[in-house]
Formats: sequence, C-alpha cells, structure tokens
Amino acid sequence: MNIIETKKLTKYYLHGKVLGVKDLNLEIEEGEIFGFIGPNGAGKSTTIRLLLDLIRPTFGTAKVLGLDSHINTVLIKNDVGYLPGEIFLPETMSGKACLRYYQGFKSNIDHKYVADIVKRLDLDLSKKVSDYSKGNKQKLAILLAVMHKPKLLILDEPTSGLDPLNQQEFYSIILETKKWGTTTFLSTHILEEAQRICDRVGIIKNGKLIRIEDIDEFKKKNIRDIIIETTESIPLSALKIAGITKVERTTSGYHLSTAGQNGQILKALSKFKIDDIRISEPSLEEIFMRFYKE
Amino acid sequence: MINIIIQRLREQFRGVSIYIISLVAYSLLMVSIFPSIQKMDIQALMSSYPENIAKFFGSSGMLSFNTIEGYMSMEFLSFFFILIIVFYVGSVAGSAIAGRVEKRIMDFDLSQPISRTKYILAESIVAIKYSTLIVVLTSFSLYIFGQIFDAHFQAKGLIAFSVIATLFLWALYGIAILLSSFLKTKSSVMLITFAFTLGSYIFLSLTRIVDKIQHLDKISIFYLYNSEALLRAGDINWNQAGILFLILVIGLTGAILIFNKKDI
Repeated sequence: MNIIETKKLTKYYLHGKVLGVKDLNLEIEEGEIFGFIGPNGAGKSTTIRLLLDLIRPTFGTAKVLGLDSHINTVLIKNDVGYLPGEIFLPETMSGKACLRYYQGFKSNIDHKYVADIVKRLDLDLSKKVSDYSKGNKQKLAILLAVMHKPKLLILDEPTSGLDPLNQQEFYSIILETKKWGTTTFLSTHILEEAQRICDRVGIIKNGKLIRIEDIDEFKKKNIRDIIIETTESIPLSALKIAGITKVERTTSGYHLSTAGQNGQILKALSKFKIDDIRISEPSLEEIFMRFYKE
Repeated sequence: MINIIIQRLREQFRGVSIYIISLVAYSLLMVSIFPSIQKMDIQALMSSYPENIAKFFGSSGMLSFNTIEGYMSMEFLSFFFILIIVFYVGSVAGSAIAGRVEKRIMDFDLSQPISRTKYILAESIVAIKYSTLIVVLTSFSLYIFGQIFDAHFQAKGLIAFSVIATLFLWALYGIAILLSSFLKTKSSVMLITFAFTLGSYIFLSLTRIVDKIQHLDKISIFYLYNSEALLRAGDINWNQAGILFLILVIGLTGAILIFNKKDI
C-alpha cells in the first residue's frame, strides 16, 4: 500500500501569484524512508503542510495512509508523527507538561518507549520550554513525533538544531522505527543525511519534482571528480570522451567531472605527462547542484 | 479536546484569578464608600450639571446615585466592569486562533488528531467558563459587601444582572473569536474588540443627547445591556438575552467556518 500518494498536487499562494508546488505526483511505499531534497523555497514545507492538511491544495489530491488528507485528517493524524522545521512549542509549559499535553491527543502512547527516548536524547523534561536551547527544543519535538510509534513520520529538516552526537542518536531512532514498519517522509537539504538513511530521494526545484531516484541507483551512477596535476597542456579534443561531463582548467592542471566507467578516460590521459591524479566521489551536495544546473 | 480544555484552564487560571481579585477589591472599595456617598447630596450636584452630561454618562432620569443599584451601575457596572473583562475576552479569543497562528504553535497543535472545530470549541468553552466565573464572583462579592456595609442589593437584581452581563461578554467573545479567525495578530483582535466595545458605548451615549441619531440606539450592543435597570427591577428581557446568545452563536459558527477553510 502507498502510505503517501499525491496526484497533480498543486498549491499557489496569494491568489495564484506565488507557486508553492505544482503537479506533484508522489507514491511512497510502506516502510520506506523517502528523502525530499531541495533548497529553501523549493516547495518541501508546502508539500508537508498539504499532507498534514494545514493548507489546502489549489488543485490535485493527496492521500495519506490510504485516506484523503483533508476529509480524514483526524483519523490520519492518529498515526502520524510530525517534526516541524522550526520548533514552536508552548513556551510557558515545562517539557513534562508539554509532553503530557500532546500525549493527551493520542491514545496509543508507549510510556516505556517514551522513557527510553528521553534517556537516549538526554532530555531534561523539568525545564521550561522557553529555557530550552534550540537543540533541546528539537529533541523534545522528536520525542513528541515518535512517542506513539506512528505509522508515518513526517520530518521537516529534522537535524537542523542537533549536535553530531544527537544527530547519530536521531538517525538510529529513525532507522529503528523502520524496523516496526514506520514510513518516513524526510525533507532535508543535507544530502549526506539523505544518503545515509533514505531508500529513495525526490528532488524538488521551484515547486516541481525534478526526479525520484533510488539512493543505491543514485550512487551507482559513479559520479566522480578527477583532479589532474600537470604542467602539460592537454588539448580539449583529447578530453572529448564519453563519461566526461565537464572540464575545468585549474592553476595546476585540470578538474574533470565524470560519470560511469573511468577506464577510457585514464587510457586517454596516459598519453600525457601527468604529475599527479586524484579521483574522488563528489558530495551528494555537489551532485545535487549539478542537477540544478541542468 | 479535554486536554486542551484542562491546559487552557491551567494557563489562564493565574490571570483570571488576578482579574477576579481586582474586581472584587474594586467592588469592596465602591460598596464601602457608598454609605458616605449616600449622605452627600450627589443628586443635587448632578442636577447642577448640564442635562446632556448626565444623560451622556447614563442618567436617563431613572438613575439615582442615592441607591446602591444606581450608584454601582454609574460608577462600575455599566461600562468600567465590561471594559475590564473585554481585555480578558479579547485576549483569549485573540490567542485562540490568530495568536497561535502568529506564534506558529498552531502548526504543531493541528498536526495532532483533533478537528479544527473541536479545537475552537475547546478554546471557547474555557473562555465562556472563565468569563462567567468572573461575572458571577463579582456579583456575589457585591451581594456580600452590600450586606456588610448595609447597602443591600436585591438578590433578584444581581441574578438578572449576572445573567445578562455574562451573555453580554459571551456575545463580545463571539465577535472577538470571529475576528480572530481572519485577522493575523492577537493584538489586532484585542484592539478591534476593545475599540468596538468602547465605540458602542460612546455611540449609545451620543444617541441620548443627539436627537438626530436617537432612533439608532438599537445599533449599539450596549442597548442590550442596562445594568441599572437589571439591578433595580431584576427582570430579564429574554428577547435581548436571546439576541446576545445569538451573537455568540453566529460569531462562533462564523469563526469555525472560516478557520476550517483557512491555510495555516
């Protein structure tokens, strides 16, 4: 069953003047961790707000857990955990009171699990929310999102306020939820994060979904950076080889961007006097930026 | 829904307690000085003022400073009392939707399994409960202080006053929650609610002294709230009570409809 299914989902703001998302078609299967990648303003949060029925689509439909996201919103939210991009919780409450308040909306709280998460995140619930640091607010929001072991987790930039240690703990919590069948929809602009925990990623730009990639397939594209150090001038014609997507002249040689097998490229380069050669995997960020340049 | 009600009751408890203590203290002050006022010939002083001034401030001929009902109505209950509680009503209605959207707490609240209708109803139940409590406890304190200082209120009058004053505040809440459903900030809801209340009172007062607009007195919501007549006669005009209740229902229904269509 598709846990999230959108058809031509479109949202315009300000009476059609500003585009949020356009013709978004998504199918996210049960148990997968789906990364929704895009820069600020790409439409990630708009999509999340549409799925949560916080805003209404201009056109198109969204189904969550097999139900209409607007008509069955209350039913859906029983099984959804949401972590907003920016955490705004009632400032006057203590962490404990906040937890109690939000637990009151749900009937299926696993208190043992809650205690375990509190311990793992090293969260002090006795403090007032207003006294929490950004990271601690984030931790509290993570706890509120997972406390009822939801069928669907919707996470908007989940690790933005967390230190590296807590990021690790967060990833392990998310990967744990997958074990009991939770589907995760994760919006992020940290591509390393997507690479680390996602099964598939959807890349969104200017409100439009550019493509959906299986993360393993994505890695198999074998996108590489080749840094060549040479004093010799290599004619561009010699670098017109299948697989080289970009050639840049640097102060000490050349920078090649490549995709696929590199055998032919190395063979061609062997004809020249090369002082040094370094082949590295570009960060997903760089790969992602190349998509945007398309 | 219950958790929202419990939480809001907790959150507002301190503020409402301060309101009640302040109003009860003010009632004590006013009732305690009434015997001294009664000994003075205030009526003669009033009659020395131009007739329109007395009319503007609520004297319609029936009002008398020599009775506790007339005195308390003129000095406290006809306007000042309402104006103070309007701050509470405007504040809670403003917080309920506009304030929570403004502070972006609403996002997380509405990601919980609760309908928007129930959300507003829960907020409104608390506002209605506390505004009723403020009126009832103030009225009760007036009765007790009246007994102590030998300035006896009619129990029937105080009950009638409590009923209409409560409905009047509910009606103002209905207007405020409607404003909250489409305005963007809590402060704008408070400001407009306050301006509406003040404006209505001034307008009714003007209809008493400006002949040309005398027939427009029914436009003012204060036409439905005459504290002096209620305290004196103890009779509730159920048509007027019904109109006040209807304003609450219309305001609340409008707010629910708008909020349900609103992008958060």
